[in-house]
Amino acid sequence: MSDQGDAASGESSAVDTLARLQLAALDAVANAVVFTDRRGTILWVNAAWQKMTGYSPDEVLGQNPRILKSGHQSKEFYADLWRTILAGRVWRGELVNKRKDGSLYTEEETITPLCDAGGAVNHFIAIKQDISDRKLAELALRESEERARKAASELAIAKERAESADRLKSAFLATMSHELRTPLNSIIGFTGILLQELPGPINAEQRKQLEMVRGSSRHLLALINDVLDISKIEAGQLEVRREPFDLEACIERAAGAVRPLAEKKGLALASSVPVGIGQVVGDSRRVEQVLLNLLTNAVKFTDRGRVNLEVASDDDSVRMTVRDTGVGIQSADLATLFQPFRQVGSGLARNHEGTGLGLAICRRLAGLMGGDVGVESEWGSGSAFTFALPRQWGNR
Amino acid sequence: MTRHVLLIEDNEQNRYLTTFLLEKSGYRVTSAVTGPDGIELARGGAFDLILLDIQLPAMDGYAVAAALKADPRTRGVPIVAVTSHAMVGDREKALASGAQGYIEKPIDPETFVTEVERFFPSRGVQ
Repeated sequence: MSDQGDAASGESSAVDTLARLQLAALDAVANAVVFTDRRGTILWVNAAWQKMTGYSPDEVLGQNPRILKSGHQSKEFYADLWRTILAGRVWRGELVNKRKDGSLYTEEETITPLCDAGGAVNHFIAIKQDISDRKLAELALRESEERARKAASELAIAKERAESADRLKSAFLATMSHELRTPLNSIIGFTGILLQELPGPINAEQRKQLEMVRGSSRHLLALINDVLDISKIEAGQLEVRREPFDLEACIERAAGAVRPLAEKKGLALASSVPVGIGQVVGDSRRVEQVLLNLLTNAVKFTDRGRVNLEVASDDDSVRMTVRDTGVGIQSADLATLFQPFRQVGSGLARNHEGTGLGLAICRRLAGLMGGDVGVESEWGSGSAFTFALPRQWGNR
Repeated sequence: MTRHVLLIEDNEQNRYLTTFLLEKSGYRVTSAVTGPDGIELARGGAFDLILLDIQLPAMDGYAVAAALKADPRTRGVPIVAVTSHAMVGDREKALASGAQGYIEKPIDPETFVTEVERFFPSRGVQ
């Protein structure tokens, strides 16, 4: 008996040890655990539950879990919960509850009914986890996704606006170009006809005055062309071609166009192009326009001496330098030289008619072709403008 | 035989200017103010060349050129586009729509006729 008794008491102490261990484990787990009877009366809570809700066991034992109600769930929600667990089924869900201090938290909860030997539900064990942080993170994620969607749609609207503004600018420039040139066609055309004496002879005074009209209308045309050019560049509407062309021919055309002007002023105009300069990829018309502009400027601002166009090249780029023996540029003016409408020296401006846009256009055109226009000058001893152009623009 | 030019241009002064220059050089000029009128004239007459303004109201020069090139009666007549647009791609657009030549406005009265003459079909040496 005593043996048996010993054995029985040994067995019972092993069960006790296991039960104590289980209880200690339940108390120690990270999830909140609560035991209730079938009416929901709280019989036991673990440490994590206390930590989660802020209530001590003294305050909640014998109470109903409704003390945690936040009002965020509906009557139907609880009715469904009770229907499920009273029917002996496990209920899983999320709910917002209120801590002792009144703050809210979101928990993920599993309620498991426990049945007696006869199969009747007599207790519940609920295991919960505070998922407030996860909820906040999810909310933050949703909000940032929403913000990203909003930003993307705003961007799309801004893009559409910018594109329609571009279309407007383009249409405006085309219209201006047409509207300004149409009357000039008539002015320049008829002045030329009269000067050619096609309708009949004119006298010297008439010729002199008609030449003034022609000079002014050509100047006006140059202004219109320059303003349209710079507007097109600024509006991103000026496209440059990208095709191989014969640079030497291009240089010759530009020099040839300026030569009569230089000869009229008694200036020597020379261009030296190294043998086998070869082809350059770019827009030949625009390269010619830049060279023509630099050469015309040089002739315009030089009264004695010469204008030279020197060309140096290597495998990657070509440097075309227009050097003159003219008035030169004061160092203070060098900085603003390439800005639109900044012909330097108000006194000079009267002597040297120009649009004041030429250099600004040159630099921008060079930039569009991957090159640049730079200047070196000393007041009183001439200037050197260098137009640098990559051979293989944009094909890197 | 006098060469006959059809001029399609909506601006009165420009029409007068071009007509004057061509007639002074011995050409015969017939002009139309609108694209449809110009096409009508082109279909009915034997022209050696068509000078076509691009900025025409309603039916623009590109459409006129395309219509002239689509019609077997007018297909063979060279078209020279005259435009005051001078925007990117204008030349390409004019040439693509069927024009053989392209002259920018304002025209230079001293060189205009010479420029136009390049586009007359060669008459051969028979």
